[in-house]
This record gives sequence, structure tokens and C-alpha cells, in this order.
Amino acid sequence: MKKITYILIVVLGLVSCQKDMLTLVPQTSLSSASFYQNAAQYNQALTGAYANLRNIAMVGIYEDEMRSDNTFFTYYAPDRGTEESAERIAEFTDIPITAQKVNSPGYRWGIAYSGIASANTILGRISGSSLAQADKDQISGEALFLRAFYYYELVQHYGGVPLQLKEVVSQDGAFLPRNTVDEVYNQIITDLIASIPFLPVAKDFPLTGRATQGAAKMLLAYSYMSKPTKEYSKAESALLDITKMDYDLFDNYTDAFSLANKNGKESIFEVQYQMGNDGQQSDFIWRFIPKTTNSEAILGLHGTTARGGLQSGGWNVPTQEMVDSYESGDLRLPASIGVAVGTEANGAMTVTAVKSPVNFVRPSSGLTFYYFIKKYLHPPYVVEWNTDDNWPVFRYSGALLLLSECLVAENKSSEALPYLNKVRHRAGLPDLTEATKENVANEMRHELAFENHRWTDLIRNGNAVDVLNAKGVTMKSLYPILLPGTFNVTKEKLLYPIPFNEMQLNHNLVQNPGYN
Amino acid sequence: MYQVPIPQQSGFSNIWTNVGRFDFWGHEFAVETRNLTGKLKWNTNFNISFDRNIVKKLGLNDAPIGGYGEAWDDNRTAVGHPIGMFYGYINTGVYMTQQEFDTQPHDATAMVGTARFKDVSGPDGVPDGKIDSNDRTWIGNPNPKFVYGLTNSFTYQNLDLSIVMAGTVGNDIADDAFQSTENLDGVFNVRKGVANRWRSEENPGLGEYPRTRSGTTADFRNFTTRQVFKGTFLAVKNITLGYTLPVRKIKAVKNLRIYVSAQNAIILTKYPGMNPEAGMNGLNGLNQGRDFTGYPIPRVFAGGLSVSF
Repeated sequence: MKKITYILIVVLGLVSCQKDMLTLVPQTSLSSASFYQNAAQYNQALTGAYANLRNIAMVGIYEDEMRSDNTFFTYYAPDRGTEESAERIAEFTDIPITAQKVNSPGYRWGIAYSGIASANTILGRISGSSLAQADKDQISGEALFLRAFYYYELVQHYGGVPLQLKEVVSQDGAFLPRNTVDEVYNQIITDLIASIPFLPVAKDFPLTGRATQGAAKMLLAYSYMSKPTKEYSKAESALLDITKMDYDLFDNYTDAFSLANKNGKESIFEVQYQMGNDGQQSDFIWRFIPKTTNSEAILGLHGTTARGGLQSGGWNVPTQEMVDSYESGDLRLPASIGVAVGTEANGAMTVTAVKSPVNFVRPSSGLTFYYFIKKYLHPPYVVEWNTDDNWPVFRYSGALLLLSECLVAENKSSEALPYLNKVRHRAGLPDLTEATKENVANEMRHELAFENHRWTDLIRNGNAVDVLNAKGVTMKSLYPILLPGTFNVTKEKLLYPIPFNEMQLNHNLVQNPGYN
Repeated sequence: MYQVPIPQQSGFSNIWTNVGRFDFWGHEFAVETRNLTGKLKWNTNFNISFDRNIVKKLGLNDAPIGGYGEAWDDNRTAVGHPIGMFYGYINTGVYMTQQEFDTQPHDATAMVGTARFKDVSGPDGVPDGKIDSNDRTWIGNPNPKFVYGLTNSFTYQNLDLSIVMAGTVGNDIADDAFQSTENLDGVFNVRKGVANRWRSEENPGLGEYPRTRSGTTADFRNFTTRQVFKGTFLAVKNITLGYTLPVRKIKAVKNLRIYVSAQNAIILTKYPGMNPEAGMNGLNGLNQGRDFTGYPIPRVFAGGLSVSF
């Protein structure tokens, strides 16, 4: 008996368990080890990567439009600590700690990298998966576009950023140093060029809202025209390709934003939202109306939040200079901006009338007025802070103007003129006789007003520092409440600071100059 | 295992990982003495603990845990320091005159009349003449130097008296309620001292509270030395006086004792908050010493009769 037990023990000791027997995956919940098995799951992951676009659209209101000469915000005297992060961005007093608050307008860094991580996970796993080639192509194409889009957001606002191109599975992958601006743009261009063959060309409108070749080529053109060494001829060919696609302008400017025309023939790329109970809704108009006690006068629905905070209106308010800058007869002025007239007490307005800014006569004493962005106003509304509007990212008129800008930069301004005048004609304006850098930039300001383009457009055209310092002078004379340290706009302020806690955690990062 | 913050460039904000290495050591003593053994008996029980800890290593490149926010993020656990030290700005008063403001370091939203902080360091580790997030430093230690307990019991004929005391020495408490009661934004009730705030150079107040001008009030309500207090206390937890009635005559009753007791009879402390033993984070070892409106413990007087059959 003893001998047999000894033999048994020795034999058992020589046989070992297969490794897989010990490596188990949770059976009752999804994890990255058990997900990513079929096309439906990959598409779900892809949808998740699209979701961060919504946060980018929200951030852009504060970091791209309120930071520019188009808009400002209304001070709310009863609560002076409110939304310091949003106000500091507009006043140019933001610091690295402002940029780190999650769920605050400064959080572009975290939002973009979260989207990039989703895209990296998809791209890293799909090539080795068992999906059909057509599915692989469709999903990879969209994931590459999204990754390029998020990196474009980062490089435009922070400069050279760490290039995370692989799913992070261990500590080492999370502490990469910053790459140069050129390296990031090269990656963006590489990703876009790789994505284009896999993306569909826009044919039957309305589109689905997914990435298309037109969207990729538009982003490609922006990249070629924004990077340190411009490549205008490549941008021109990408934009000319877009003009050959089935896009076209609507007859009226307001049609481009109407809810009936979501993802319509003028839309190259929009961030998708849907009114309703599923948490997919947008809420821009509620942020743009003045802080009122009776929002039903503007929106047809009574809103309950009149307190300070991002949960109330008074943001992204068009400046007087913006209203005055529209040419007379420009149909885009009444379409983009409205005026709320009423009485004001304790920082909130009671609206008595909504008027057009065209030939607006300032009210008599006792009444006050506030401008607000009207583009995204589409009643009726059923629930407060719940609207159906999509956020426009690229529109066909923007493509035509970008093409004009590109051609003027290549000294082909006579070729630029027809595109410029087509956009002007739709706005009810007379033709120009010559396309110049200034009048194209001015046209773009009014055509794409309040669509989160102005700040980066100013930087691309080299006017940002002068224009914003001039805005500072005007603002300080209008609002004595502004501190002396505000609107001190230097070249360093054209980039945002890397969030403070990122700098503390990752010692390989170097902060942008001027923010130490 | 702890959720340690990780750079968001990875797409994640924190990761479950082994936190690192902490060293704990200390000495504990307990002494039990019989001081008097005659008619009046007096026994004493005394214990004292000296506990120390230090962080030796943290996962993820030794990145500190906590202390990244300017407010409501009081504790920082970093290599080379004890766990959960307080980390914030050092408040040095108010810029009383324009000349003070011009000649002393300040930050972008400061002006004459706003709160003043110490210029501890710039990005290179030496003071740089500007106040920014580099000027945050170690401003308190919630770990006590020692904790102790003392029980005295007296017996004299049929009377018995016991006094139980406990206390700590050397720990700091962060009274986070100050971040609300000293919030000058105009939304909360504030402490009485705000009546003597800086109003103008001609009316500068007592130099403790700054002005309430729009846009300048955020600095004052960040976590600073104004909110850190010494938490040393000595609490008389229980005083019980009892009398055992002689009951040899009643057969059914073996023992009869009446007593009166006071729970939380006395607390001796300089801590201005309501309860020096408060802590809003329970057993979370990395976030000790924070008191946010901790409810005071009531003093309870009780009397009773104890009968054994």
C-alpha cells in the first residue's frame, strides 16, 4: 500500500494544471476579457467612443466661444463664487487648477483622452478578432476618425500632448511624456487618411450621424491648415472633394439648424442628441437665455432654476461688438441672436418682450435688455433642460469658407470668390468683388457664429492676441467689476494649461509656458 | 488595495492597486497600581500609546494620494511623511494697503484687501514671488503624538467611585465647516468676525477677514492654516459614584447598589469646534482628522439601582 501511495503522489506532482484552468473571467458581469466578441459589441464600444463628443461640445461653449470676441457672460451678483472655472476661462485668469475640475468646462483633457482610450481599445483588439472584414473596416474607420478628432481637440488647445495609441493595461502605459505638436498632427493626418477608404460617402440625407468621408476630409483640411507648417494644396484638394459630394446649402440660414433638418444636406458632422427620457438630450438654449424668473416668455416653458451656477442661464452672451459687427441686411443676425427685454431684480430678469436685434431700440429707463443666442431655440419644450438640438461641428458653408481661406492663402483669391459669395448670397448680402484674408475671416465669424469655432479660427489666422486684448479694453470699461488682472492676453494664453493633477501625477509632463 | 489616482491621459482616473509600503511602529505602556490599600482603597490603571507611521513607497511612481484640490481635499499621503497629513496654503492675513499688495507676492485674482498667503515655493522649490498652487505645503498632522487613558477607582466602606479619562495630545484637526462659514461669496451665513473685514484702505478692519469684492473671494475659502487647529484634549468620560446597601437581612436579594453617573462629564480642550473626537471619514485611514459640523456628544447624567437576586 505504501509503495502505491508514493507512486501516486509522484505522478500527481508531475502533472500540472493547464494555465487556463486557473485564469478565470467573472461569469456574472461583463469585463474586457469577455467582451469584444462580435460586431454588435464592437459597435456598442464605438458608440461609447462617440459619446464624449457631447462633453466636448459643452466644453467648447466656454473654452472656444466665451474665450473669443463673440460672447461673454452675465455676472450674477447674488452668488460670487459660482462657476469660477467658467468665468475664469472667459476672463483669461484660468490656472492649472481651474482646468482639472471634473464636470467643469475646463475638463477637455480628461474627456478627450477618455474618448481616445475607447478608440484605442477598439482598434487594438479588432484586427485580431473574428469579425467579417466589412465590419472590421466600418468600425476601424469610425474609430480612427474619432481618435483623430479627439487628438485634434487636444493639440489645438494644449499644444503637443502625449500620444496614447494603445489600450492602457498597466501602469507603464499611463505615464507617457508629451509629444511635439508636429508629431500629434502627423498622427491625426495618418489616422484620417487611413480612415477615409473605410468611411461611407454621404448620399441619402438625413445621415445617421456617424463619421463619413466628408467629415474626415473636413478635419483633414483643418489639420493641414492649422499645423505649424501649412500644407494648403492638400487642404484644397480635400475641400474640393467635399464640394463634389452631395452636400448643398439650404435656402435659408435658419433651415440649417431646424430640428426637421438634423443631419441634413448641409450637415457634414453633428454631435447627436435626442430629446426624451433616455438621457440623450441637449440643453444649450437653457444656458444661453438670460437668468430669468420667467423663462416661459422666451422658451414657452417655465424653468425652475434661476439661481447662479451652470444650471442656469446667462452664459455665452453675445457682446455688443458682435451684434454691431453684422453687415446691415445680414439675415444671419436675427437668426442667430435674440434680445430679451424686461425688468431686473437680484440678478434675475423678468422678461416682458423678446425682440429682434435688427434696428433694436434700447428701451426706456426702468427696463433692461440682454442678448442671447437664438440659433438653438426650437420650441415647444416639454421638460426643462431637455432639448432635441444637435450641435453642429462641420457644416457645408463652413467647408466653402474654409476653401476660400485656403485659396486666398495660396494667392488664388479669384478662385475663392465664388465660394465666398455663395455663402454671402444665402445670407442676403451683396457679392464682394475680391476675396481677402480679412473678409473671409469676417464671413466665417458670422456664418459659424456660436458654433465653437471662433477661438481656434482667430488663432489660425494669427489675430487672437490683438483681438482679445481689444475685447478686454471694451469689457473693462463696460464692467468695472472686472479685476485688473483679467484680459492680460499674451501668446502663452493661446494654449490652455495642462490640468494641475495631471502634472502632479505624471512627472514626465512639462507644463505649457506661462502657467507654472 | 486602494483606488490610486492615475493620469487621465490613460483614459482612466484611478486604478485599484496595492498602495505601496507604510511603516508603523510604536510603544505602548500600561501601568496598574494600587496606591492606597487601607480603609480607603485607590487603584489606578494607566495606559499610553506612542504610534508612528511613515509612508515609504506608493504605487504608481510614488504619486501622492490626495491633496490635489484646493478645497475639500485636505489630506495628502506622500512618501517620506506620515499618512494623511494636511496639505494647503498658509494664510498670513490681508493685504491692508496698496503698498503692501505691490511689494508682497500675490496671485492673479488678488488685489488690495484680499487674503494674503505665504510664498512657500515656485516650480523650482524656492520662493518665486508669486502665489500659486506651488505654495501649498504641509500644514498639520492628524496623527496624535500619543493617546492615553487613565482610570482611577476608589472604594471606602460601601462607597465606590470610578473616574475614567482618555485623551490625545498633539493631533491637528481640520475644521472643514470653515470652508462654508468663512465663505464670503455672499451665499451663506458667516462668522461674526466678518463684520470687521477689510472694506477700504481707510477702513481696513482687523486684518483677519478680507474684502468681499466679486471675483476675489475664492482664495479665502480654500483649505488653509485658518482651518487647522490643535486637537489635544482630555475627556473625563465617566464618573460613577455608587453605594452598596447592606442587605444581609433580606434573603431574596443578594446585592443592592445604587449609583449615579455622569457620561462625558468634562472635556478639556482648546479646539474651538464642538467635538474634538469628530471625524467625518470614519475608518478611512488616509482621510483622518477632518471635522465637518460634527455633532457634539451630550453629557448624560444617569442614576440607577442595581439589584441581584
